[in-house]
Amino acid sequence: MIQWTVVNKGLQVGTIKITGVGSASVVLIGDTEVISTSSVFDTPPESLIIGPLVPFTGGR
Amino acid sequence: MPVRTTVVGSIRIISSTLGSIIQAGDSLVVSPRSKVLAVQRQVAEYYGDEGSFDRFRIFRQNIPEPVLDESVSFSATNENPYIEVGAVHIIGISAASVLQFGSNKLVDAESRTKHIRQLLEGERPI
Repeated sequence: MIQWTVVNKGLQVGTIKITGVGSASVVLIGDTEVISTSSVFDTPPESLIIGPLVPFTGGR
Repeated sequence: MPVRTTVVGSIRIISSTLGSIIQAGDSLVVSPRSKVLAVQRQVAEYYGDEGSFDRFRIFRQNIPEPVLDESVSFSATNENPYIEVGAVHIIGISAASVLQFGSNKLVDAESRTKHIRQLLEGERPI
């Protein structure tokens, strides 16, 4: 079994500047036990449709 | 596990969209979700009630997770119980993301995006 011991000493940060946090990302200023994030993005060739404009079926 | 206290001087966020979370303070579980059907058309004509997530596998399929086959014994001691940050500046938080000032036990975020383009004429590049 892995024995993992952490001693948190002083943590002081001046300024955090972030442009973007996107697609199941996490910015955490604090403690946690488990982080599990997943992001799926699909742009296959068949997602390019060429032809007259047809609305997608199936309304809300 | 003992948790620390987060102290932040100032926060500036321009936008938070698409199922994102900004949390000030502690929580137990944070589980944001986003499903996006991103449609771009050569002619910007949209009907507002189009489309169904059920039609696309990406919105139903299971996302595999790493298998944890090793046990870990974790212990933390907080000699200084504070995390101090002067200022946080963020332009955008989007698509099932989390910004938290404080502690939690579990973050479980999931984002699914299907991108579709519709052109009136042209040829497929492949």
